Parts: sequence; structure tokens; C-alpha cells
Amino acid sequence: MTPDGDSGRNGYGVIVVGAGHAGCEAALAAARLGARTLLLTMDPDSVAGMPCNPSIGGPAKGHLVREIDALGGEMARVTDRTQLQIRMLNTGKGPAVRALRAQCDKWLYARAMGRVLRGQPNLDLRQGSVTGLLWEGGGDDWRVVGVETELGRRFRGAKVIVTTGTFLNGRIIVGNTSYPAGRAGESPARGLSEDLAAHGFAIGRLKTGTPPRIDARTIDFAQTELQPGSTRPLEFSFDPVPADEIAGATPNPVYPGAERHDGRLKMACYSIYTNPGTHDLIRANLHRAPLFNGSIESTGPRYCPSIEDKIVRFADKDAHQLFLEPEGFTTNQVYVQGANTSLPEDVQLALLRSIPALANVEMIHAGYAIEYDFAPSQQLRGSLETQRATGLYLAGQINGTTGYEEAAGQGLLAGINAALAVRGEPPLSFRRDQAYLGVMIDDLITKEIDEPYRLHTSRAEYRLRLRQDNADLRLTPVAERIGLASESRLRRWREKAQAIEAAGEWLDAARIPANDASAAALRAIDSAPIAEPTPAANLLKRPRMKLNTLRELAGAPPVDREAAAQVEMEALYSGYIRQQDRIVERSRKLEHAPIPPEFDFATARGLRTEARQKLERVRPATLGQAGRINGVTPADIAVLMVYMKRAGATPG
Amino acid sequence: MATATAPDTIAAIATALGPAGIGVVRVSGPGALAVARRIISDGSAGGLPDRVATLVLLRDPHDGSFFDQALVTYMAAPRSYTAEDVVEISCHGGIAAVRATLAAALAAGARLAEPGEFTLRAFLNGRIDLIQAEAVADMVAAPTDLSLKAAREQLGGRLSGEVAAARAQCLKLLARLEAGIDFSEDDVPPVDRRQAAVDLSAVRSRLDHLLDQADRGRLLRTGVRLAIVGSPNVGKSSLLNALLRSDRAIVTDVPGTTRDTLEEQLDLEGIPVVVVDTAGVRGTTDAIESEGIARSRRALAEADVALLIFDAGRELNDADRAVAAMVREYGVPVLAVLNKSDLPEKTGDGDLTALGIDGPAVPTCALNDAGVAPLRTALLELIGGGDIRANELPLVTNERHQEALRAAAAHLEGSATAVADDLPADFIAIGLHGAVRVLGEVAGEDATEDLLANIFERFCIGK
Repeated sequence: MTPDGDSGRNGYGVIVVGAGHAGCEAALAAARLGARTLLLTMDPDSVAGMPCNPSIGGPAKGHLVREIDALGGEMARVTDRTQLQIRMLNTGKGPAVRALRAQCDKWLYARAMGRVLRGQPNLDLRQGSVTGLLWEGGGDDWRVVGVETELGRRFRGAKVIVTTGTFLNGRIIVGNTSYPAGRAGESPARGLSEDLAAHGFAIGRLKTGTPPRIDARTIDFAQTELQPGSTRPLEFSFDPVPADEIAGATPNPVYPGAERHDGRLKMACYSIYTNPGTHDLIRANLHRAPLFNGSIESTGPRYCPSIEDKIVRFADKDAHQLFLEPEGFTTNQVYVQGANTSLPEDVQLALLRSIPALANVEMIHAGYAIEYDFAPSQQLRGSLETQRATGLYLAGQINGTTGYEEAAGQGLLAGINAALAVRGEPPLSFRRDQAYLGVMIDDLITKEIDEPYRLHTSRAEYRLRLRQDNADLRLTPVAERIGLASESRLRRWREKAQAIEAAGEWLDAARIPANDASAAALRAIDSAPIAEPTPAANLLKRPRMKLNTLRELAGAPPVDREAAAQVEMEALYSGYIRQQDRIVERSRKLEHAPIPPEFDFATARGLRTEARQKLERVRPATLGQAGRINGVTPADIAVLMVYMKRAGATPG
Repeated sequence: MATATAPDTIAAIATALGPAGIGVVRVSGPGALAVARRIISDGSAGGLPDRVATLVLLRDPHDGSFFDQALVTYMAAPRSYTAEDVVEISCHGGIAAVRATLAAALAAGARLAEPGEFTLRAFLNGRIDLIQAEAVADMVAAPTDLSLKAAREQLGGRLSGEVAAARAQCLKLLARLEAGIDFSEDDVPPVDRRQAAVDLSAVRSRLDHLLDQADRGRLLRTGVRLAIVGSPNVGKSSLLNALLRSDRAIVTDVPGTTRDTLEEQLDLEGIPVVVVDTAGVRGTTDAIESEGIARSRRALAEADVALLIFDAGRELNDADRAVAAMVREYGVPVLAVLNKSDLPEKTGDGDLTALGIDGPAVPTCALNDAGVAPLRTALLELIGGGDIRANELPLVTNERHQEALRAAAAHLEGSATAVADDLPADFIAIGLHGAVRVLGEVAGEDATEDLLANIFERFCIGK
């Protein structure tokens, strides 16, 4: 096989299994980095599907989308092309936790991503359901060299990335009914988890769920509360898509509140509330709920509980808010956010109809729970290559995560690392203080996944550094180094970085005169006037002071708003950033204390059984990593410290 | 090799070496019972019932000769201090007897324990946590009964409990802030800033309360150094002896100190006091005088407090004035003593004031022990230990814990400032994260997972 993996008609550098959010990013990144890439999916006409809420972003997730974008991924640009509503969340809660969230037209999203895939040189999008991998080697030294489809066709590839989402032995559950499925109306993927298990992989089972979809024509919108999005044009991508690529068809007239802003069509969402009648109905039918009558045993995510779970756990609340979200510009299909359920279909319909706005509602399809196989992510390296098998990478829900954004981030990293490996280059990884992507991957390889993993901003210790507005400054240099940034992206990043640098230099040197103009400007922000010429840098530390106000006072032309914002934040918050760094460093004194690779956890007395088992499985390289494994307590770390100290005292 | 080897059986003398009625040799490890059987009389070798003291004869495992009688108690794993099989042999006290017992245990297959190894094993076997392990070390080193009691309270987990409670308060507020950030579109009630300020100050006062006790705690653990200074022949040595005579505790010389300054340990109503005596300087030659001054200087440089002794029976001389000047120079808190108060008074409080020494001086008569009780009281007050007994026992005696509590308090101060400055939630959270982390170092758990668990328990989240 040649180094680029092209060994003829059937030889690929990188094969990606599954064309969801992880698979699409993986295939695009690999192809863009020069690997001959095959993307195999059950249905090439429906890639990048959104089987749950057609929403992208939110706290931490929106940060991740911007990081994917800064690294040359596609999710942000496809979202920008197909958003029907976008908002900036957390505007009053601090600059680092501000986050974009968009609602997309899910059909347009899939189509737009499909167009990108089909237009990508080096990338073949093909139909095929993969039932097994091609293995070489044996024992503890396996190598994956390709895939086999259910039709018996074999594709050879130097690297294989498996991104099967919820399809691995998926089973849908609604009330008493359950049937094998990957998503509603789609077949599950069979054979692959058995193949992985046969080669020594641990396989677990997780659960997630989705609410019913209802017909917009049967909603009494007059009894809902309008939830409009931002009227300001907001975009995810640092490299904006051309205006003519932005979707904006004539909207379905059934939806009130649709408006055009700056030529872009923006739709509204609608909120409603459950009531005691709804809750009584659910309680009366709990014996028919698979979550409570024992027919679902796998764990679902705590942050995405079913409506029946919420009623049981928060019994004292007599109303829960639900959101009605159109799934596209023209569709009648409306997503009922907050009403995840696997109750029988008749109970679902009855509970919806107990809400005044939905008194006459009809369901398009019922909510359901889905159970699926996953490969616990502690079996991965930081590159997302598996520890057991060279050449095999796993990304997305197969690693126990949830969320399109989390999947896309992993897909991007796996695609990059597979392509780098084909080129013979070392893998790319990110530190926890560098990117949410780094936080997520480090969590995945060290933490036990006992519920689907979702990113939260509270998982990031260096939260003030990981802002959504500086993702390009943090990561585009990396994209440039590996060759994944487009010319236009690089140009924008350079311009922004240079503007910030120049503004910073100006700030360090400039002095603001003590005159009427400066007094007035300071008065405008309720700040005391200055008595003598004062360094601009000092004045920028005053709350609400703007860089361009100072520049005007000093007679300098205004700088770009985004560059100004970066300089302002640095001035205002650098003290807090340093405090945060110190807090983390203090508790991370052990971060780099190495654990010898040959250390035998099995014979270490003092470790609790649970901790010992987890340490043996994860084999952390440092005490810091060991400390992040959940189930490993500070007492266990103290025990390890005793052994490390002893080992240090007696060399050899 | 970086493996953790299987435990062997260790033995050590568990009581202080010295004249005492009973000495205890402790044996711990899988072979503890076997070791015991090899050194006790055949008659009782068959059965050492769990947790029952059995009277046996001790014999030398080499020649079988009996050398002592002892009470032997076997405690089967895991219900023992180390959670291993433990045998405790209570033999006759006295250095020779206890050493003979230890030697027999070693000859029977035990290894001499390293310092702290029993506690290390208790910790490694999960019998005690880190705070408790530290408390054991403090207990072993405890110089007075009160120090011992404070360490024992810590061993009982009272500090862990207090710290865990403070940390839980921080987590609760943090969960509210973080829920508002990470689940901003959910039905999470916003954090009321006034309430946040109240909650923050509640945790602060809990930490401050612990910290207030910390200084007194350190007093108990490490004690104070007291210098007794004065010009020649004012009665320093006899005063020291009177002080020591009045002490109920056993007085021992601390070895390894300088040959010419004598150090004595004094139990001052529970506060350990190391007395640095400059006695022994007598005579009138210049050489001896200057040597005495050098010693006094050394003692004052090391001391936390000083007793400045004057002879009430004669008028102040140049030597008195020189010593007083020296004390003022070192700035050590000082208690003046007018010794020989049985003689007609030639020097009084007024004369001392003229020297710049604050009164009133304590009148004593070291020859007949008169005035020693008021001296103890005045000294205790000077040290600041007077209220230790009156108030509850301090929990924080350890520097590491004190430092963590101080850091936590500083972090909370940062959060309080962020609330006062009207900064957004993200900035209020920073200090709380810091406090949770440092408190977690004392008592703790994985902060992030704890936080998420806290959020999901308290708020109905998820759409």
C-alpha cells in the first residue's frame, strides 16, 4: 500500500462508517487533508440527520461548534445556511458563557451537508451497511484494515472511523411495543458490535429518547406564548457563507411570528405549560411506562429526562414549560421540546391534549425511547484511535456521548488524526485549557460513562479562556498548521489577530487627555473624571468603557468591533482569568506526576475495589488523570501518592 | 519495581520508652498470630480468642526460656487499628522489659516497623482517612493532655464534618449559578444577588469560626517558647524550679539542644511551654557576664514570650537596666516578675515603668513557692491560651488545614466582591469553584461531578 493509502480501485486511506454529524466531519476532514476517503452510509440521500431537536448550539455546545468551525469543520457553515431562528444565550451571565443557539430546517440541513460531501474532492459517498471490520493480527495486537458490508463487499482502508450513532443494535421502545431500529423508521446496524466484542472490546448499552412530533395545523397558536429569536443577524461561522447560500423560502403560513430581518427569514418558537391534569394523567399511567415498569433498564441522560421522569422526580412542581419548535420553514412537523417520552401512544396523545393550546392536536409520530450499544470510551486514546486495535477510530454516540455537536467535534478530530496517521504524522490533541474539544476528549478517555455524555460549560475549568468569540484565535493557527483552513478563513483570522495586536499595542502606549471630552465620556459610564493625562489601559479597566471611545478621545480611528471586544475583555477580565488559572493549577499540582507504565494497580493495597478496577482499565499516565476518573476518590489518589513516593525513594 | 508488595508482619513498641508500669508491643500483619504463638507459653498458644486479653508467660523463641508475664490481646482483621491481624502484648514496663519483648517478637519473624508504619497501614487499608492519619501523627507527638484531646477530636472526624458542611454550602450556591448558565433556557430560577451575598457570608462565618480557633489550635500542637531572663542572682533558676515543681506533668530534658541553655518542658494548664533557661551563669568576671548576655540574647531571639526577673530586695542596677533594654530591643511580649518578694521591697512597679517595662509585675518568692500560682495565671494570659478551656476545643491544629481554610475564605471573598460589583454569574462562580476545590483537598471529592449531581438533584432540567 502506498503511503497515501491509495492501493488501487478499492484501497482507501480512510474509511468512515456512518454519515451522521460525526461521520460527515470525519470524512470531510480526512479528504481535505489529502486522504482518499470513503464514506459509507445506509442511505446516502439522508446524511447529517437530526432525529431529535433540529437545534445546534447552546452553552458549551455552541462553543464547540465555533471550535469545529475554527478548525475547518463544516457544522457551523451548514447551520448558518439553514437556520430558521438563532439567539445569543446567557448575554447577562458573563462573556465566556455567552452561547449561540440556532434552530435549523432539518431537511435543508441534511441537503446542505449532502451537497458539501458530494462537492468534496477525494471523497466517495457510497451506500452500504457495514456488518464487520477486516482484522489483522491477533491476541492483544489487532489492526483494522477495512470493512465488510451486509452484501459481502469488502473495502480496504488504512484507517477506519466508526461513527454509528444510535444504530448499533438499536431498539425503539414505545409503551409495550419495542422493535429493532436505528432511528424512527430506519433499520439498526447489526453485526458490528458483535464483531467489536469478539475482538475484545467492552460494549455497553445506553438509552435516550425523543418527544412526539405534532401537526402544526392542529395547534391553537393563540394559546401559546411567542418565543422570537434574535432580530440581529448572528452567525456561527468565522468564515461566513455567501448570502445567496442562506435558506429563506416562503414559510408555511400556519406559523405566526415569522419575520424578515436583513433579508433573512426568521421564524418563532412557542411556549406552553403542562398542568396538574397532565401530571395526573401521567401518574395514572406510570405502570405502562417502560422507564418505570422495568422494560427499560439502561441509563438515560439526567439533563434530558422524560416527561414521566420529571413528574415523578419533581412531584411538587405543578407546571413544566414545553416549547413548540417548527422543524423547518415549510413543514407542518413541530417538535415538542421538553416532552421526551416512551409512554404508550394513546397516553402521549392524551397528555398533549390536556394542554389548552393542544386540545385538538394530532401527532405526526409518537415520542420514543431508544436503546443502543456503545463502546465505553475509556478504551480510546486521546487521538480517538482505540487502544486495542491500530487503525480503528471511534467517534460520536458510539463513544457514549450525546448531541450533534459533541459527535461532530469527535468526528472532526478522528478524521484529522486518521488522515495525519496516513501521512505518518503524530496525532493532534488539545489541552483542557485550550478548547472544549480538549475538555471533552480528556473527559471521555478518563471518565466512566454511565449516562450519555454531554458537554457543559461547568466541565471546563478554564472557562474564561474558552470563549466562543475567541475560538478562531485559539484554534485556527492549528488548522493552518495541519492544512485544514481555507484561504478565506485564514485571511479573516489574520486580519482579526492583527487588528487585536495593533489595538493592544496602541492601548499600551496611548494616554487619554484630561479634558471636557474625556470627562463627558467618563460621565456617560458613571465613572469619575481624570485630573491628568491617564494611560488608556487604565481607563479601559473601568466597567462599560469601550476601546473605540478611548481611541476617539485620543484622536485615533476606530478599530473593528470584534477586535475591540477582545481587547476590552482582556483588560476587564485578565485578573479573573489569572485567578481561575491559579485555582486550577493549585489543585493540579499532581497533574504531571507520572505513574510508571508498569505500575501494578492490582497489587496496590489501600485502593478501594471500584477504584482499582477503574485504574486498571484506564491505566492513567499521571496522577492528574487518575484523579479525574470518576470513582477514584482523593483517598485513592493519596494512596497512589504513597506508592509513587516510595517508588521515588527506592529507585529501581 | 513499581508493584505494591504483599504486607509482611511488623512489630514495634507502642508506648513511650521510660519508667512506667506497663509497656505495649504491637504486632500487625498476616503473621501476627504466628509471631505471638512463638513467644508465649505453650499452655495458651492454642487459643488466643479474638479481642480477649489473655494472661501468658513470654518466652525467648531461641531457647524457650520464659522472661516475663504479659497480657496478650489478639484483634482479628479487619477489626483492628490497622485493619490487619494485630496482637498487642502488654508486658511489664521499663526499658529493658519492653525491649526484651520486642526482641522476642522480632526473633519470632516480625520486622521492626518503620516510624508511622502502623498508621500508614491503617490508612492504606482504608481504616482512616488522610485527615485522621494526620491527627494520629499529631496525637503521637501531642505534648500535653489538651493537645492530645484536640488531635483525638480530629481523629473522630469533627473537622472533616465541618469542612464538608462548608463545602456543601458552596456547592449548593454554585449549583444554582451553574444551572442558570448551562441550562439557561430551562425553568431554572435566577440567582437572587442579595440571597447570594447572604449565602456567601454564611459560609464565610463558618470558615472564620474555624480559623479563629486555628491560632489556639496551633498553640496546642506546637506550644510556645518562653525565655526566662534577668540579671545574675535575681533567682531565675529557683523560679524555674518552682514553676517545674508546681507542674503535675512529668518533666523531661529535651535532648539535642545546646549544651549551655537548658530547655525544660512545662504543661501550663494544657498549653505546652518550652522554657529556655539562661540559668547557670554565676560569678562576676567580665567573661562570664558577657557569656550570660549572649545566652540571654539567643533565648530572646527564639522566644515567643519572656519572663523578666528582678530582685525586689535590692535597687535596680546597670545589669537590670541592660537586660530590660535587651528585652525591649527584641520586642518579645514580656511579663515582669519581682522575685524575693519576701524581702523588704527596694524595687517596685514604679521603678519598672521607668525602665519601659509594663506592669504590674508579679511578686514571687521562689524559695517558698509563694506566688507561683499567680505567675502561672499571668503567664497563661500573656500567651493568650486563657480562653482555650473556656471555649470549645479548637478543631484546626494543623498548618495544612489552616492554609486550605484561609485560601477558601479568600476565594469566597472574591465571589462576594463579584456580587458587590454587580459582575455576571460566571465571575461569582470563580471564587466558589476555588473554595470547593481547596475544601475538597481537606475533605473532598471530584468537584465537577459533584456539581453536576447537585444541579440535577435540585433542578428540573431537560427539554
